[in-house]
Amino acid sequence: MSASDGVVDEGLVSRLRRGELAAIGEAYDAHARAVMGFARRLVGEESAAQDLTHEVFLTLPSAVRGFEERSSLRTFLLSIAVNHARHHVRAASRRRAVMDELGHLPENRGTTPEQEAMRVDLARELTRALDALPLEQRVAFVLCEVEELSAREAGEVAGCPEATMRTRLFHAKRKLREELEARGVR
Amino acid sequence: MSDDLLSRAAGALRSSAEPSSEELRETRMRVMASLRRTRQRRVRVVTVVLPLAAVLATSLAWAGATGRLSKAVEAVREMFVAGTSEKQADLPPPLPSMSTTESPSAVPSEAPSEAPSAVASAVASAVPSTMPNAPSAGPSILAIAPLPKVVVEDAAVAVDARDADLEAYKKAHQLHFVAHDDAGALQAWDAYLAAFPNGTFAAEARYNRALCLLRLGRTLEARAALQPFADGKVAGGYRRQEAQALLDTLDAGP
Repeated sequence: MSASDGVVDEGLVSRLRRGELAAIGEAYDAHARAVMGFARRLVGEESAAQDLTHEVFLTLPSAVRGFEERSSLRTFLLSIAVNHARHHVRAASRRRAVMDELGHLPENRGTTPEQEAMRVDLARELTRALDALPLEQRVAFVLCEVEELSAREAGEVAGCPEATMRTRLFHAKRKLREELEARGVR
Repeated sequence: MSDDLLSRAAGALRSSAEPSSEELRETRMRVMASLRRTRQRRVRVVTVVLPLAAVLATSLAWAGATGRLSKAVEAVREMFVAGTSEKQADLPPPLPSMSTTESPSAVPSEAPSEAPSAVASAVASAVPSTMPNAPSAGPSILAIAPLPKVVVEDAAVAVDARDADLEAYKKAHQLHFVAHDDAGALQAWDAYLAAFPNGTFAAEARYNRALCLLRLGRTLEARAALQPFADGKVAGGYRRQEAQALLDTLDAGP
C-alpha cells in the first residue's frame, strides 16, 4: 500500500467537512480496508482493529476540519488511527501477555500445511515482539516495514519529520532483533 | 539474527492480517449507526435544550429589568430552606456510626421522637459484625451508611465466580497443552463451558474444544464447532483465519 493511494478527492473532502453521512460512507468504502489492515497489523488483534477503525471513522467528521489536504485522505485516516491507537495497543498487548502467562501455545502445528503454520507463527512472534516497543517505534516499524511506506510517507502519517522516522525505525529494528532472538525465533 | 528474518516476519504479518469483507461490512454498520445516534443527540439539543435555555435567559432578563429577580431569588431561597428543614425532619435517625452496639439515645434531639427507627436498625443490622467501627464523632446527618450485606455478599460471589472460572480454565488448559490428554481435555472444556457458558475464556474454550474433537478424529463435530469461528461469529472474529485454515485442511482430505 502506498500513502499516496486514493489521492485527495476534493469533492469528498468538502462534503465530509459539511458532515454529510453519505460522504463518510464513501470515505469508508474507499479506505476502510487499508485502515483496518493497518490497524490490525499495528494492534495485532482483529477485534481491537475493528474498534480502532470504528473510532477513526467516527472521529473523521470533526477531524477533517483540520485536514490541510497536503497529503492523501488515506494518509490522513492512518494518522487518525495512529493517534487513537495507544489504548488499543496497550489493551491488546496486555491480553497477549495474559495468554502467554497461561502458556497459550500455537495451535495449528501439524494440522495446517507447514509453510502456512510457520508464516502464522512468525507473524504472531513478531506481534509479541512489537509489544515490547514504545508506541512510536512500533508505529515506525509497522508503517515502514509492514505497510512498506517510505520514511517520508510514514512521517506524514505519524506527524514527525522523515529523519525522526528513520531514527525510530533503526531503534525499532534493533530491539525487535533482540526480542525475536530472546524468543528463540530463527 | 539477520535482517532477512525481520523482513520475512514483516512479510508474514503483512499477509496474515487482511480484513475480510464481512468485518468491513460489520464495522461500517457500526460506524454509520453511531454517527446517526450522535446526530440525533445533536438535533435534540438544538430543538429542545437550546430553546429552553433561551426561555430561561429571557425570563431572567425580564425579571431583572422589572426588579422581580430579587423577589424570585428570595422566594426560591425560602422554598429551599423550608424544603431542607422538612427533609431533615422527615429523615430517619441518622446512623451515628457503623457500630451495631450504638445506643438509640444517639438520635439527635431535633428529630421527632416517633422517627422510624426500624429503617436505621435494618440498615445497621445488615452490617457484617466484623466491620470496623466508624470514628465515634457523635451523630451526624452526613454519616455514611454502610453497604448493605446483600451488596457485600454479591461482590464476594462475583469474585468467587471469577476465580472459579479461571481455575476451571487452567485445569482444562493443563490437560490440553501440558498433559496432551485430548479426551480428558475435551471433558474439561465441556465442563468449563457447561459451568461458564459466557465465561471470560468461553471463546478460547470453544476453540480448544474443537481442536480436541479434531485430534480425537471426531471430524463432523469438529467441523460444526469450527464453523462459527471461520464465519467470524465468535468474539469478533477470534481465530477466524485459523479455523478457516483447519476447515480447508479437512475439506482437502487426508
